[in-house]
Amino acid sequence: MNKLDTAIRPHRAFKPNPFVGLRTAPTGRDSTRLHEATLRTLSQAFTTQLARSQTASLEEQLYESRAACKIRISAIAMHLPPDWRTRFFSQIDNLLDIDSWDFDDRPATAESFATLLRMILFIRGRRPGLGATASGNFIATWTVGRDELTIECKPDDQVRWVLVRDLEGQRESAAGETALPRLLDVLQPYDPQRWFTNGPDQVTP
Amino acid sequence: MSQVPSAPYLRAPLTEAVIQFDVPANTGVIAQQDVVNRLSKYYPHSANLASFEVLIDGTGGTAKLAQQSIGFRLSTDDQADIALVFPNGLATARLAPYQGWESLRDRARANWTEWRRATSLRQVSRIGVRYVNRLDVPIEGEGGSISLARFLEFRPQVPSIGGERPFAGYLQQVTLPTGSALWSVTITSALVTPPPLLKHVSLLLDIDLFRTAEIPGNEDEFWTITDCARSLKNRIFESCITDEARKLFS
Repeated sequence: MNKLDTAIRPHRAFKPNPFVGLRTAPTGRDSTRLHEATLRTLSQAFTTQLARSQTASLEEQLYESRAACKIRISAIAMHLPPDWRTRFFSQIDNLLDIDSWDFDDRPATAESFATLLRMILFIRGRRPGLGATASGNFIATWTVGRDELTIECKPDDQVRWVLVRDLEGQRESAAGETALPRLLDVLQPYDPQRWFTNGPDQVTP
Repeated sequence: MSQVPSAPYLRAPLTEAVIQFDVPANTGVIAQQDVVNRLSKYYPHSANLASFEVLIDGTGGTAKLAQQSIGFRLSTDDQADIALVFPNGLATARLAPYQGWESLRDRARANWTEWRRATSLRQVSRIGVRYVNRLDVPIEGEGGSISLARFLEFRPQVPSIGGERPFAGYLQQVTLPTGSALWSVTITSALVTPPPLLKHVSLLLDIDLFRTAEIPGNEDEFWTITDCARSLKNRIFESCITDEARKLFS
């Protein structure tokens, strides 16, 4: 038997943490003390690490953010047209540049970027314009004429979308939030392919 | 009859390729730093690599955390080319998109030349060539299952424990000698979670080829030996996948 269940799993990596997660063996006081001492030590280490990351300069944080994005793009580079990756890198560099970044904004997160990449490969459309929210989420935008589509990529494959369509002179807007696998379905009434197709830099299947 | 795709593939499933040379002893931090400085022209970014160790005193009920530097990680602006400088060796890696064996080998050679200039440890004790592949298999319909046999020749064989119900995950690893004398390989296959593509299942196929004996000190012979890994890893990869898998990245 070598069949593999393909039911879609939650988009959350399993991070084994057996040492901290292990329950204290119910054998006596010593094991409890050891367990507590270990937790205390690790907790101090994590606190120190957190303090260090918070004191990292904005420039360092933005560099880390750019680097993480590029590594993630590399992981799916085989699914992108050859020059797509280079242009996308330029967008990332411009977006996460110290000169254009608001000091009060949180650098965009890797979790949001994971959703952005999965969305790009899912819709297989043109390369979007990029932006970021103050809370650290990436934003993808497409504009065709007066029609605009903006999608905020949240962690764990959640997306919030806002669109404006020009329907024979009438401006119509809509917004919503959904799980990524449902995105094309919920956009269907607004003909989403008008934003995604017919571009020179479309991701092809 | 449908045509069976063959290498080189249009969309090679390679996510990371590594050539690593180990030496039999540790070199000091100053020499490592010298290697880092020499490689900085090609790799402008560097970061320290650290390991953490939890030490538990079983009698006193105390625990300590020790942090130790274990080398340096260097990278290019696009983060696709990486060098790892360890006390006992040097790894040269390339993430996707893969530029081919010659490109990786030439970069490894240039890096190794700088290692040899900066350290007194030049005799290689282990050559490692590692190719990490990921097969992204589309899921047809909702849920269901795929047969690994359609895509992998290297796959687990599981007795019927849960009846006909498919398994939810797997990890398989073997280490064995190759058909080429002195080279061995560790092959690992596992489920990648989460898959980077929606409505896909991603299968890891990690081929770690290595040699620890009769490694020549002579420069030309050394690189001839290293080049042997190229056809070997290709042959191993091809023998681990099926024609159906080849169609995925052609």
